[in-house]
Amino acid sequence: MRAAFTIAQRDFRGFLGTPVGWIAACILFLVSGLLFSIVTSQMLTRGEAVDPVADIMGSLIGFLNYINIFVVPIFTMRVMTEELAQGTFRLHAAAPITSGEIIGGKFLGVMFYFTVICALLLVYPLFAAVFAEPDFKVLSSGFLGMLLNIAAIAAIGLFVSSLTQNAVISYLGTVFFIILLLFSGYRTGVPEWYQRAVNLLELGTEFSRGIMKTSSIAIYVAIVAGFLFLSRLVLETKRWRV
Amino acid sequence: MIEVKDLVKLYGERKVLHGLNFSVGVGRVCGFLGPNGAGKSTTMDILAGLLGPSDGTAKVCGLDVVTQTREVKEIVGYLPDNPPLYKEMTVVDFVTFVAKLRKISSADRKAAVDRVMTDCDVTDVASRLIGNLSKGYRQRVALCSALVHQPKVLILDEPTEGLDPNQIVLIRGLIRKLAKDRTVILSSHILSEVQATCDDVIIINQGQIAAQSSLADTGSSKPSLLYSFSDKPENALKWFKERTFVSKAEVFADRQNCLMIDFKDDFYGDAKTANLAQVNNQLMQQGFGLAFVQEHRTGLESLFFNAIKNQNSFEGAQQ
Repeated sequence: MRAAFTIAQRDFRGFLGTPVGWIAACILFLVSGLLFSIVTSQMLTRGEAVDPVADIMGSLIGFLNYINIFVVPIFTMRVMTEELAQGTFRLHAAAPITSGEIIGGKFLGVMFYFTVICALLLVYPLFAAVFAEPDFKVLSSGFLGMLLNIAAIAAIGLFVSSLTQNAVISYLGTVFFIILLLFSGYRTGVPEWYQRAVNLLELGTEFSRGIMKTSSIAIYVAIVAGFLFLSRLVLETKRWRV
Repeated sequence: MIEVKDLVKLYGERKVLHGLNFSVGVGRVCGFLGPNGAGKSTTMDILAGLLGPSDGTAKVCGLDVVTQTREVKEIVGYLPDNPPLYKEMTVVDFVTFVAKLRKISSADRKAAVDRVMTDCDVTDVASRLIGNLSKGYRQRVALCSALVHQPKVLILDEPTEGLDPNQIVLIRGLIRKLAKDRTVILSSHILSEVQATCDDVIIINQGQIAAQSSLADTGSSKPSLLYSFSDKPENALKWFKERTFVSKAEVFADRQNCLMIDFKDDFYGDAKTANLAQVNNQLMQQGFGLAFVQEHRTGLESLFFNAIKNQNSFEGAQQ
């Protein structure tokens, strides 16, 4: 387990040592900042009574959940596909650590980064707190939903990235995989539980309204565990495949 | 120390290793020599536990690479041909990271990192980014990462590839120093490289061992002599053939006006130089126009080319 933290720590510092981490942070902050000001000013000009959490943060988190489908795969691509292509993966493969520790470390590294980003996004509700009284319980539920969403995307991303050494295939593959997963829920005739389980955006919205269901958390845990397990299998069998 | 038996590796339908057999003892530097695509890197990947063999066994220090992979990885230091380096890290951070991956306890870590960085002579660039270093330094940093856990077995895949002559000499010296108390396997497709650093040589071609020998044998103690003349040496050839102490005299085809002479065994020995001086004096008196004399050793080069040539013709005959 120590090895996983070592890898996570290195990857996290790696994100900040290369432009990728900063550019992604810029995009996320720029988008969320614009959205925050647009939503706030629109609501104020309409003269509606504004609930800083449900209205402003709700739409902000909803939008970020959507954007993250395109941002998180950049990071999973970097930590898996690029390492496989550049040969740095061999550093891990030659060390006496398990595939589980490698995958766990890569996953945690991505999560560290986005946890920091999410923590910095708290600036908006804190700003809102100057003028109103945001409900921090609902707020933390929304952030938890966003983190769970990121975790699910990261796990799927790691799985797709471990299959290829081509960065473009890895990135597009992850994005399309997630989009297909989302769309597959809208097909007629699919069971209701499936509809609910694959609609990550809807689940995220639920969280941002303060609805924390055990079943929703279970869905996320299942997705993360399932795809991390699959990625571990891919790494484990790399020795025997060609 | 390293024992390989009937090692086979298939990449899909393609057979890359056709049943390798060899062993390397403690404290030896063993050179893998072979043309590109011969199976050197595949063999090394298997020994380092990165690849699984399709058939056969490989043991490192008595540990099987398939069933005891983790233990094998603990005692092996591996430098792949494309050195795995994080370019955005500083040298000291990178080596420390590898030390952590290798599970060196935090109490010993700093000492281990310092020691290996001194050994590989990279202390002067410790706080620089790896991406900004020259190729020679990068190679040495990669070597640090292979050595930080003090492995008993060191596997180096083309360690001097792409370095300048100065850096090659440095790396060679380092490998010799490291070999004192561990087993080293290094691969190369450069003959002089192996000649300069290794005790044993294994020549691999098309997934098979084409030849295997100790380098002490290849440099024979009874060298042939090459006599170069200013003119066509027919008379000299005739003269040599008449001497009783000459076992073989023939025209040396690779060079103009040159003869290759082998002497009989009793010619060598303690009186070798005196005997040679006498022959040269006689040659001078004959007035053949001798230009110069030099020793000709049947070295690694001929071993290499013969081995590869023999094998190719053998396979041609089979088909």
